[in-house]
Amino acid sequence: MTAQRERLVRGAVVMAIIAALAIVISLAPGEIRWALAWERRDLFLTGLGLTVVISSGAVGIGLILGVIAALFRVSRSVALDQIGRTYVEVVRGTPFLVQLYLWYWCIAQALQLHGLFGPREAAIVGAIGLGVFGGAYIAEVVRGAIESIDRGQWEAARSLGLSHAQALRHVVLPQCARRLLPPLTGEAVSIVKESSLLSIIGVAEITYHAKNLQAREYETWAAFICLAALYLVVTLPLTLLTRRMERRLAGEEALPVARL
Amino acid sequence: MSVSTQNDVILQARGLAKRWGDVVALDGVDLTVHKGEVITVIGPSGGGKSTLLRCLNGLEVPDAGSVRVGGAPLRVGAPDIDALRRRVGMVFQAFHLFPHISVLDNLTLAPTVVCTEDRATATRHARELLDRVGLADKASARPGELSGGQQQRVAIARALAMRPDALLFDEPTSALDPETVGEVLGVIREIAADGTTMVIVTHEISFAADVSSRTVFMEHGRIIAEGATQPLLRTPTSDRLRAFLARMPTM
Ligand SMILES: Nc1ncnc2c1ncn2[C@@H]1O[C@H](COP(=O)(O)OP(=O)(O)O)[C@@H](O)[C@H]1O
Ligand SMILES: [Mg+2]
Repeated sequence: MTAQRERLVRGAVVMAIIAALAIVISLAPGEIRWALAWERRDLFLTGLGLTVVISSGAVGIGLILGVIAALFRVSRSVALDQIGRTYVEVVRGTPFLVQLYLWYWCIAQALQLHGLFGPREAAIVGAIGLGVFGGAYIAEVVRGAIESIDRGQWEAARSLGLSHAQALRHVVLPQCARRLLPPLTGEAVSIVKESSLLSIIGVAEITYHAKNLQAREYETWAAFICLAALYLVVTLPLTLLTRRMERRLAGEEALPVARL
Repeated sequence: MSVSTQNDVILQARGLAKRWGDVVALDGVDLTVHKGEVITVIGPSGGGKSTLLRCLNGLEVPDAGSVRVGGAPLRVGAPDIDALRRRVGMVFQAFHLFPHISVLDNLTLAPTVVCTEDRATATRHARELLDRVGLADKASARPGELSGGQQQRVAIARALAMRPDALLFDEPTSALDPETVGEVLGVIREIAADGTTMVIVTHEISFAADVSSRTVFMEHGRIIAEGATQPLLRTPTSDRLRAFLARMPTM
């Protein structure tokens, strides 16, 4: 199949799926009051902006924590390894919802006692909580990449007199960087999606506004279909970017799926 | 072996022992390498040759015994381990070049990172070495663009870039296509002729015969026979060495 024909088929399938969804939605009982969502477009867009800002902050925090935790895990110190491992296991072993409540009760409530907890603080606490959450997953991605580097690279570096840290910095990590980009973009997508939970601690991100619309006007369909579409506006470009990077990397290492 | 004083000893292994579960890799190996010596290590696969070499620069920690580099004890985890490793270069069977940087950078990375040389000096030295291994025109290539033989010649130059006191080779031609073996052995011969101290694990018996002054035959983790290369290989007194040589194609 030619590349052009393949693109055509893929495009047609996506169109067909969208059309099918539209039909299903139009069959839903009762009228969908899209106008209610349209009236709130400014709120939705502001919320989307906040979602992007908080997620970006969380990705930044997650990257820093994740790389540090991964370095701990591959360090030669057992104590550091255990610190990294405990962080990763605790965070990955508990739901983000539960973590978020804990952050909220620990920090938000303490601040609130002193009248210091407003929407701004809620957003900051949320971004930190989300960053700590994402960092644990990023740590595993980074550690996996470091461990995927051939042992011979370490041995060659060490035999030339580089220390463990120098070998990591100049030989191993630069080789990880390329392999890391696609999975890290994937983690960024997860963080964007998880940020929807921040609505429960009162962060006025986009899910918060959708929930408001539903609660006030009992307009579930319009609220959540718009919400889903708006999340896709953020996540789809990231996903497509990931796919492209993966294909670029794979192009140098393997052949694509053979559709014989 | 000629009369030698203690202070021209570059590497000294005493009573090295290493086992992996039930497998005995080294079983009481002593080896002394003097300045300027070229030693070849031969023997059947699994005899402990690689393990011995890896113990000599701390890539493997022996269960018992000691290694000294120029008189200083080599201890993995000790603060001076990196400084001691710098003095003993290693050439691997599978090259292990750094794939993400150019050939020239492969040579200058270690000298500049461990700060033994400034970049200009390191670069000048690297170009000299590339010229010496016949790859001056490949300075800006990536390792992945080179043939196996060329990669191994770069690996040799990379090890030499640290100006080591001794070079260890672990079957440097075993991963190569037959047609490129010759070019790598040729480079090793030239370096040997320059007086570089070397320990070479090899299955190329005729190469061993003409490059080395001393040969060590290992089997089951022990040194079964050792001595001046020519008499050892021509008129082996050990039955097992004779049996081993009889199985080798090139004698
Ligand atoms: N990392 C390892 N784990 C387990 N066994 C090993 C390891 N390295 C070497 N051995 C075993 O030790 C013995 C000696 O190996 P080696 O030193 O590589 O021999 P040679 O280089 O002479 O072929 C072999 O039996 C080998 O299987
Ligand atoms: Mg071996």
